[in-house]
Amino acid sequence: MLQTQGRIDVIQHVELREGLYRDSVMLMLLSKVLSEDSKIYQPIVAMATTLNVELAQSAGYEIPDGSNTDLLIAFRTDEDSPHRCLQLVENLLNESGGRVEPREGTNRTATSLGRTIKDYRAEVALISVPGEHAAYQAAEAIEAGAHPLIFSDNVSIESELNLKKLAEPLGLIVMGPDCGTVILDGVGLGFANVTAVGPIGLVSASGTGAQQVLALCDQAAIGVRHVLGLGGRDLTDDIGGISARTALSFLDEDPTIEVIGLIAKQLGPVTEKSLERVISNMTTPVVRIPTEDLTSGTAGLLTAARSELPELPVWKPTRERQKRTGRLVGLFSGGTLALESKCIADAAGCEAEIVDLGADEYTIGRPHPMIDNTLRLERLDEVAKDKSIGAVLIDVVLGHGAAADPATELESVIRKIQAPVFVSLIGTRNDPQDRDKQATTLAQAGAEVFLSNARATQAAVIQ
Amino acid sequence: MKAHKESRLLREPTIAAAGVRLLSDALRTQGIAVVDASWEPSPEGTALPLSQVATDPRRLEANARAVQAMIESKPEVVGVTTAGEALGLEPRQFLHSGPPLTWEEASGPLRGALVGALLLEGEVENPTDAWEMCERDRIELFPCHSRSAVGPMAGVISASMPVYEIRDEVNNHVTYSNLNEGLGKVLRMGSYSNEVIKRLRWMKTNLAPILDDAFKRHGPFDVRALLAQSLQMGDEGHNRNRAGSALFLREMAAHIAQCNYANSEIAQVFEFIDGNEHFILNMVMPAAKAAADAARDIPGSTMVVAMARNGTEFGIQVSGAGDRWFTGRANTPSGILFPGFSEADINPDIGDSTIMETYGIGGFAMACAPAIVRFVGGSAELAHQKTRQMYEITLAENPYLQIPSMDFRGTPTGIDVAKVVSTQILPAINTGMAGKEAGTGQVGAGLVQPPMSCFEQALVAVAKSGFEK
Repeated sequence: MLQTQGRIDVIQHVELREGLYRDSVMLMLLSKVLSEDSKIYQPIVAMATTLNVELAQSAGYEIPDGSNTDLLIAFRTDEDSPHRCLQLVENLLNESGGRVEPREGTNRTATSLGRTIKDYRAEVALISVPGEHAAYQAAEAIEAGAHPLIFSDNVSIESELNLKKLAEPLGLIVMGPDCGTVILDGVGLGFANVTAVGPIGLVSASGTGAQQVLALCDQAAIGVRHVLGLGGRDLTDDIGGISARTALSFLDEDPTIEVIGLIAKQLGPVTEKSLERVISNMTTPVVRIPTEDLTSGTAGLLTAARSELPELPVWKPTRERQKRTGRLVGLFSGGTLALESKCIADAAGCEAEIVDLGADEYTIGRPHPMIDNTLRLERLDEVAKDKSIGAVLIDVVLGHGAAADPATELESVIRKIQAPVFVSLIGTRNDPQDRDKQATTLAQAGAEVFLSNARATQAAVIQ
Repeated sequence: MKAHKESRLLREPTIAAAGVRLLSDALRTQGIAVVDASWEPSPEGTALPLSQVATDPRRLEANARAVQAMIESKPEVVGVTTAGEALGLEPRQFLHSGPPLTWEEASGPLRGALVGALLLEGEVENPTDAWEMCERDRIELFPCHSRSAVGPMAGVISASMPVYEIRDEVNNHVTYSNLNEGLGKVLRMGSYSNEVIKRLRWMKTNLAPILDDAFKRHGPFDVRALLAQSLQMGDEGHNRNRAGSALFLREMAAHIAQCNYANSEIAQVFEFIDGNEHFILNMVMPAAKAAADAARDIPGSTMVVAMARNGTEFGIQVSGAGDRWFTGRANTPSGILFPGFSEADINPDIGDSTIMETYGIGGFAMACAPAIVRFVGGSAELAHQKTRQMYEITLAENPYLQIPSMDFRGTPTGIDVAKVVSTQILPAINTGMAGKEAGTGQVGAGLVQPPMSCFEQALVAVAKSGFEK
């Protein structure tokens, strides 16, 4: 039959799959789909019963000895190899297996995280269970093929290392533990600012550090597609930057990412070397943003993205700023921001008492100051009474997950403080809290408001 | 220009979440596709071993290997031989179902079956003498599983009994089981009346040689292929084997008919098989055992390779923990009773037939068997729910064994003790129910739950093995 069609380069494929049973109705449908393919001739996919074998023989196929529990696959094609056709057969044979349509509401089928990931083909698993349970959930996510984002803290460093070792060969990024800020394809998970999707990708060992960079990129009107959080310990030599490596190569593979910013905190010397090797093999430029000065680092990032750090807005208080006459007190919700301010104050030789109210010792049994300002309000009340304090510096972090209206909460206590008050307002123009309104409220209460924590600190340390 | 690897790019990702609803709700308000797992903390004391096995670098690969070996095993019945020869049993040595135990610990049906086996072996004249011999500790007991065998219910196998020989060429492994006697008053349910012993003798003298002859004529009988078909014909392979038994008889009839026996004797064989809708069970059980054995002894694997009950205890074995049994007190099944029996008559869970669930069918394939959904509360939807739940605690889907009513999804295969403990979902087990009193026989069929403690102990053992490596 084939010869009459004048096809001389036709190849023939015949095989018996031992013991693979499929119902005849399904196989008939499968053969029908195959015969509709313009490159496949006389396909026969059937159980190798006597009848079917005879049928195949009469179609000119030579069938090896087998039993009626074997599956016969026979076809001819004028393609160079049977590969594509076999792949098609394979897909059709397995098409029915393992597919579950996502169900809405109470009919949900999945209980476990692993099953949920598989059933809904989720790419990312957001894990916020108590720390002692987090490693197991993250391992389930890895097993199911999703990037785990571990929001939970109190995960042991051994577990972190083991999880990251499991994920690395699979190309999965373990974000965290204790990872608060992640943006994936413009979507913020956890504490993240509203930002446009653009050519920048960030890899960050610090949550509030990333938020500062986001705020400044937003001011420069340049978008960020991904922020991949690592957790604070990833870049230490204990972990060795495993997640950072995977995250960097992940961003390098994304053709829409033109520049990568690496927000490095606690970078270990061995890790630094290994990251340098990774970066030297990448096509996408990587700009290091040290947490000692996030604003200068961001300026470098923006330059690499063929943009520049714009003139940053400052919201001045109505009353004239007094000269600082005593020590600087900083009460922070963001650990990295506290660290940055401390560096700048130290470098300027300014006597400064900088406290990170988000540190573990302050958050046991109470919410983080980014969500709840109660503790900070108490501390600011004390500050207002202390006449020996020369200047006060606080951060106000906006975005998803942060308090709904922090300026209104802080307003009255700021009014009570005699010393000059400086605020680092970390937010973007489209954050749900309305950044400019927050700034205006704070300025009207007497604070001088900056978009950059470094700039706020520099202003505060001036004698 | 950068290489474009589409699969690795995250675009409008779907998020699965476990933990604080606040975070996923925040995503939902942004219009993001997010699905919450219904996570609850696992019981006190399990978080540490769970995180230890989960972060054990061996586990993912070990489990993948274990479940692949189970799925790819290809067990075939090659013939019928005798237990004494094949399993090295002496006349007063007996195999029983489940984890090891002593006569003192044995429940009624197991004791009854041992009495019957002593009578069959001709070691005693009457049940009273048999009972006395057992009381005096003159018999030796071994679990079937310790001799590459499995037996339904009491699972008693004695030296002269015929056994099926199942060969898995893929793994070069052989397993065994005795021949199924039918329903009602039978040895495996603890009956030892004259009628029971008479039937067992006929099975030795007639049924076994005829079947062996037929198998030799037919050639190796592919059990997995038979199961693949019977699951599409309303069987689940444990409590329903009607289609499988019919398929078996159909395929073997010509070969049985050619045996050199009188027509009336051949007819008896046909009649016997026709009268026993569980005839095939004693072939599919050792086949499932062969598949499970293929997954044994893989360091770091948390996959279950045996679940078995001895009427007193429920025990499991796990690939990464060798031959060690992890046991808990056997629960009493609940289900549908034969007329004349009450709940009080039901013996605690017994039998090696949970090897079917170990292999991913039976209770796991409940969705295949709408005819017996009365066991799970009466509706086909409940049967589907049971099966769907089993995908939560298993590692893979068996491409050879499909569930037609779930769009030909593969059966949930390879129970992971870590998933059982973390979800607190127990394997769904279908089972026959034996009478508590020795000699009663079968009183019904239904469902049973294994004790969670077996899975917790096994988890801890594999977790510890991670530090000993």
